[in-house]
Amino acid sequence: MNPGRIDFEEYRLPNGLRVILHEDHKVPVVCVNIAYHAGSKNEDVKRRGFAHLFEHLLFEGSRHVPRGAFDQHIVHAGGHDNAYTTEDITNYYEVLPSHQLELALWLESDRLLEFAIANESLETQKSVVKEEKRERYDNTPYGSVSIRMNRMAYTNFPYWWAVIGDMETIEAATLADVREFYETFYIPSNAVLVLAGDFERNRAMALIDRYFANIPNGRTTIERPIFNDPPLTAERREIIREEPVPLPAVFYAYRVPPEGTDEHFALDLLSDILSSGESARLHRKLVYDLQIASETAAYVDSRECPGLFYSYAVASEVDCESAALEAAFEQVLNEVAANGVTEIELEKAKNKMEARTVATRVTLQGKADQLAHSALIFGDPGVVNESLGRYQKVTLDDIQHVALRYLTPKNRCTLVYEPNH
Amino acid sequence: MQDSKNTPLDRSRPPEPGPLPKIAFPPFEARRLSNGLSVYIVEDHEQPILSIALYLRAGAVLDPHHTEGLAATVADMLTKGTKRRSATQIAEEIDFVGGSLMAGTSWDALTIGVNVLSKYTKTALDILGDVVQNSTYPAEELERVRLQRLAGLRQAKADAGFLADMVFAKLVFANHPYGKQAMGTTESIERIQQQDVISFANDYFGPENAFLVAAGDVRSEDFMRQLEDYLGSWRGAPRIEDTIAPAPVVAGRHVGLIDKEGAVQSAIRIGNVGIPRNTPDYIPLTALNTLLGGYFNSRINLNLREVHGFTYGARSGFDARILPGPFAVSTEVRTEVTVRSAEEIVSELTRITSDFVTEEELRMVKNYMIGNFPLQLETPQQIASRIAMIVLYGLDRDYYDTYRDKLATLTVEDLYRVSREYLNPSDLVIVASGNVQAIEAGMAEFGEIEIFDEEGERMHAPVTL
Repeated sequence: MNPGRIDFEEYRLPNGLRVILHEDHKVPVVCVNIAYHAGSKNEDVKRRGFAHLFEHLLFEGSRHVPRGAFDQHIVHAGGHDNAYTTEDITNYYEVLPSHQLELALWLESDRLLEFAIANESLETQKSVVKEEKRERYDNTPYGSVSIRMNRMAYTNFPYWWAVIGDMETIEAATLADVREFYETFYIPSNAVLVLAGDFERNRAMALIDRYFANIPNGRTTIERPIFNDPPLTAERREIIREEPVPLPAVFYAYRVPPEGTDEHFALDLLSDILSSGESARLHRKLVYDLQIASETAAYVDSRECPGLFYSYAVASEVDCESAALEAAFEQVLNEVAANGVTEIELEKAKNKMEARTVATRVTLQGKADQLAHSALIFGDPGVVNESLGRYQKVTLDDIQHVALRYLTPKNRCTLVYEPNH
Repeated sequence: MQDSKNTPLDRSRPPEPGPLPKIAFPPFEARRLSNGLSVYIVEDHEQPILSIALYLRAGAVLDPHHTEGLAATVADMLTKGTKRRSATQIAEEIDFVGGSLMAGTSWDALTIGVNVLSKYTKTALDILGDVVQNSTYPAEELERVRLQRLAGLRQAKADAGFLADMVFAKLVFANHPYGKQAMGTTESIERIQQQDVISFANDYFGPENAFLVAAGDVRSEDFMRQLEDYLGSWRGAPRIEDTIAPAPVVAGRHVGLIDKEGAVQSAIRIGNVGIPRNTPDYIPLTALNTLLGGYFNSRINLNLREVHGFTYGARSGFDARILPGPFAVSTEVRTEVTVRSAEEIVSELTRITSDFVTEEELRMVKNYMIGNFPLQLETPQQIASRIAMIVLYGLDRDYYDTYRDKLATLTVEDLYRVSREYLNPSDLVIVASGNVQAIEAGMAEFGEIEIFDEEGERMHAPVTL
């Protein structure tokens, strides 16, 4: 019994493109997902935000698909498409009725085949991305958290900037930069193509061969940044009073091991024990008992290289002293490190993880995304079927161990937001 | 279907699609409990999960005058203590099985939902039955909920989009319930008493005034038996007939501005009263709206985002409720282009009401909506929520069976007719929240301006420029 199991088959084309098939005929729908092992950590320091800007540009035309036509073709076919960029990867997908499978393969292969992005597109998408940054980061309360945390938590490694980048480096991007990024990272051997849904295996393989097999692999070798940031040794801390926020809030970020490690699974469960559901420790103590907070959370920002364990509490009232909020908040975290958690809490977190794993694997897109992610980050899509087992193995000692080792003030970056009135 | 293997690859043209796959709206069972509760069941055994939603016809539209936010507060209080369990016990029990229990309100319904792994169906039904029948609405829990709602409101008001929505509703609907705030105001939340919560529940909660939809890994016979055990003895309020009249459409142009401290963008809302969900024109109007601002390739998004680069995104939509809800175009744009963006939106509204859309545009929208239909039936929850729409809004039982055929027969004349009937560019409420000083003079071109504060109150008489 393996709830949420995703069956798949995997092979490589001679040009290095990794292909994963998940056949499922429940509804006449197919998801085409292609992910590239390129994210913001692959950017030049002077081009911060570039991988994400590039993601926008890849919808702006390719050799046989003029500007604006990509989305039109997909929409016209009754489908939808989108993409996202993280620190580590960029993922593109189309979900469409199954009789339109070939259309998506044509479009995706064309933009991997040949660079054809015009300057006009670059200028428009710079504006769009700058508006995206304003909307999500600059004009949103606490919107600067991830930007500030990255800058505090990493000194040298390219996780120190946010995926969105900043206005100046986005503005400075040139068409030559775009071409270089494309030629370096958008090559078959740096990608994984996943098909999930209602297709017939042999025909799908023939179509993939037809559209992707003759795309040459690049000549470049990709240099990957090596993580050599020194461990944090003392708390880094900022108090922010100049941004308009509705309520005082405290955010913590602890540097933690990469995803896929044993410690990552333990930390992930610990984040649930702290914050998932109204019976979780942070909610129970800060929101329910003390009524000092209106909102609490904890989660692991999983990354290919050492990531961050985030936890935060937002005050319940505007005149709350942020120091009191922080003291109560820190006490909950210290208690875990000092005394561990209970058997019941651990079992609860494992049950939550099982339910969540299953729930994210209800849609074809959810399944395709997880297969692509595992294939790129771990070199093995099958890892998706091992995660629940890894969570099940976590013990009470493991939880206390990671709390003691990582949730300590010296391994922490702290942001305190105070309303400025 | 083309023969992919034997013809040479021509990349210059899109490949021809295969034949349109047949898809029927998935089968579901309609049953009834001994107490009259209607039950709809969608069986799907692919993943071992189950979601159950109980819909009560007790939405925010029923909030008493001056007690905005009551339905929402009742929803919050439902899971905060019963004759058998304290708030803490309820949270512990549902969390322990990895499930989630949530209650919330829309304008038209109060919904209690439970999601669990199907091996814990009994736990889910036990807790659901308990909160529906035995909630005690403890006074000390109300104080906690009050604090939470006030904090939530403070957070919401920090969002320019929320402020724009609030003032837009106020200008469009005036004193009609839809002009109020479903989440309550600072004043109304402070006013709500335990007795208000209990009375609201007594007035509207009962099997005749509710229905339940279950979707996922259940066998309908077993499920009905279990449901009978946990909810069969539920009794309560009889169905109360709606006596609220629809709001009239606003005549002329009205401009509202909200000053948002530190804003680098303006949140814009432009529109008027729209349609009820059960209007026979719903399908042509949805097609019209899709073309206008309902999808990425819509006229408004392409204009504001792709042509001008003013915004990350712009959309329009009818919020169709039991009574006619709002129609609004919404977007966030940088301060300097606020007036120009509003001009573009008004000009798109004028264009779509004065000229036929092109055959090509209509073909695109039809292809999109027809092709997209199976994508919306992928998960059991998606199917369940469509069944809930049919029941809640009294749509025809075969609504989704005939949906694609009705779309296919739409003409540009149909779209023209509904655009003339429902969108009038000379009758518009235009709202922007942002840096008022920077946009006030320009926005005056649309009509008389009223300025609002962050509580949604008028700050002073209309300015003369």
